[in-house]
Amino acid sequence: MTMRRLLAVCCMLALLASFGLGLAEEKKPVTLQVSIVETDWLDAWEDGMKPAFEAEYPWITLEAVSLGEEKRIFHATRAAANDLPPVLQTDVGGIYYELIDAGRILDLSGYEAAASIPQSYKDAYTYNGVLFGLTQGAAFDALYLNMAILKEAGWEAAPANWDEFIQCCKDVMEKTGKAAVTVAGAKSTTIWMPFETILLNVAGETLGAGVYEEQIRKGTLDVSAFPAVAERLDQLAPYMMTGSSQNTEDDVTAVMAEGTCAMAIAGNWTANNITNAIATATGDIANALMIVPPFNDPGKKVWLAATPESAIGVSKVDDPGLAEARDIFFEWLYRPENFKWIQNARGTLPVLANMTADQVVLPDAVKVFSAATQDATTFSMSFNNVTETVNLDIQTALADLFSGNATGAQTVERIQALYSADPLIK
Amino acid sequence: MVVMNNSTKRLAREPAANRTPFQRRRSVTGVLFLVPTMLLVGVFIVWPLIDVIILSFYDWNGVSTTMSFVGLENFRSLTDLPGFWEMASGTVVYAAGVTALTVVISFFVALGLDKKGKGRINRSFLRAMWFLPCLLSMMVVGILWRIMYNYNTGVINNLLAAAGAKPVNWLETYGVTRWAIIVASVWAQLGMCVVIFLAGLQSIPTELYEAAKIDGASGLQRFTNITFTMMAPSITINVLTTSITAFKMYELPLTVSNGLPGYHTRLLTQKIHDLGFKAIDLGRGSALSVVLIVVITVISIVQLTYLRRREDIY
Repeated sequence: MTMRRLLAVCCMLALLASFGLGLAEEKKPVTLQVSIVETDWLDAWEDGMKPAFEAEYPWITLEAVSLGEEKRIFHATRAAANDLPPVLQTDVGGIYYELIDAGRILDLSGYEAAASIPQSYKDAYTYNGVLFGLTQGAAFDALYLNMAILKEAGWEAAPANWDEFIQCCKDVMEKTGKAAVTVAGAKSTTIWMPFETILLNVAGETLGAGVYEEQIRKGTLDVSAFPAVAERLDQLAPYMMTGSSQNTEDDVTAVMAEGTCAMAIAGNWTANNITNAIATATGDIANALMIVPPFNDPGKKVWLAATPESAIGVSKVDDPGLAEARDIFFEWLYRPENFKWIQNARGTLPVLANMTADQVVLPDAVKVFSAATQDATTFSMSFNNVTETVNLDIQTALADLFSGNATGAQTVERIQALYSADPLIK
Repeated sequence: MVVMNNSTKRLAREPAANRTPFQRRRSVTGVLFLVPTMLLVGVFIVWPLIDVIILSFYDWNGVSTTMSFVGLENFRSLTDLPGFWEMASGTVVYAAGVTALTVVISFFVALGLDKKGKGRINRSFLRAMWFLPCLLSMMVVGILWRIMYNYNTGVINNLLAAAGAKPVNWLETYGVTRWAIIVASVWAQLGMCVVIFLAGLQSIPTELYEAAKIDGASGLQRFTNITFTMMAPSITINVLTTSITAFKMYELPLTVSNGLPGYHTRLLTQKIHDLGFKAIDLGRGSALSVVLIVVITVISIVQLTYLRRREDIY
């Protein structure tokens, strides 16, 4: 009898426990705002990532915000309203350092996802000991070539050094009547590329890796000590397509799709767009080539600027349910099988150490480029080392150069003045 | 403009104690009607304005919990900004150019639309056509003109090429780009001025023209002495509103030329945005806003004083 009673009590306890567990599993629905989606992987987000995540975690609804907007401005506005999205893109400097100091962007060291990112990328996104972003990929300067136009100009292979590059520009303009090279001048990151790649290849041997970054960071880099920089800027400017200083990245893609320009200097993150644009213009993807900008002297090695791309971080939220959803999503995002959506949609170079070869699907042009970056000496892109104010003014100086309104020497002088304008350097 | 008739003037003069219950009820009703508007103006205009003035004396990044008082340093350091004087003079030239061209062109367009006669295109249709650009957002107008000004594919250079002329680099040439933007702005703002001028023209009594005609006044005399003088209030409104809009313009130069070449078409409003939201330097951004507010206020008062005096003469 006692045993039967005991059994009954145990059964009741087990029933209550399972009921309790059942209640615990009933999650309160949460809408998680994420400010990370970019237009170049919007399809991957809508068709793949969002449905996959919501199927796995049905109580969490993902809401992408700030799509197509300038993220820094969006985050500044939301920060002012004390309403930062729980998962957000982060960048080096500016408002993000202020948010870290204010304890509103959190340290990611404790997340499992952080283990899959190489240490050098984590170092770039560490401020005052706080790891505030896991990068989406590695960003490099690249030169995209429409080989059909180059062949028309008598070039069977891509130029291999600065002299060949300038000769190639000249041949394209004279023999085909088309524009030689373009750049997205409306974006400070991209208009910076031709200048910095020239500077690196001129000054790289003298300064050596590490010194350049250090001098930029301290505002002590003397660009005018390298007269070849101004000379090369003067050599390049006449071959820049008219209107380049006003181009957005989409404009560059459009120009390449129209087949009116032979080459484009752009970031590797637009690889898919530009190579497909060249394929559209020529009818064959094989005509699209992506190379490390050959701005080196003949016989010298090539120097390349690289940077971790915008990263993804998390902000402080008070609601425990929302915080849990944020953490679940963040860890989910950096699993290789999920992160590949972003990786492959953008065609960027792989950044996750635990991603398998079959998960990386890159366009052929990017694969070749990826291999070539291994042979180049890589500098940290100085774009990240100066304040937004300096960036905007340097963008203006370079736009003047490429629109024929300033000489190389004037441009170098303006940039030098901005570099030296402490305390504007971070 | 507030028009006071005799009874409202008397009501305003009378002490509250002497008013009848009916008059008191009317005053309360009037105040109640004003409350929603005053609330909206207070919350969305007066409060932010005071906030901007306060912020202009502080160094603050919009995020930090501490703000440091810097006195007038934000104002002083404005002139250290690269291209500041070019932006300031550019803003004045832009505002003056847009105001002058918009008011003059719209005046003559209104005169043309006011004319009646056989064989003319339907006036309502034409008015609607002139007004159409006003319905578009400035961003849309900016993008439209940016596409039209494109050096390689823009319709303007295509027309020039068809006429055998050389293409013009509308968006990257000093001197040209500013006027390219002024033209786009005039196109966008013309319709509203035309409507105001048309209303003014239609309020001129026809008897004045008939009497002048009988007295032997020529067409030019009738225009200068009747039309132009009677249009004084409309001119005042159009000059004021157009110049204020031009000084505050932000979207159009940004979308058409991105403020290039150099700082040539970068208006102060764009710099306010760059300082406040890109450089996260809210103190200096606010200081520049305050400067712009003062400039607009002074210019508006000068315009109003001069134009009102002209109205009073007639």
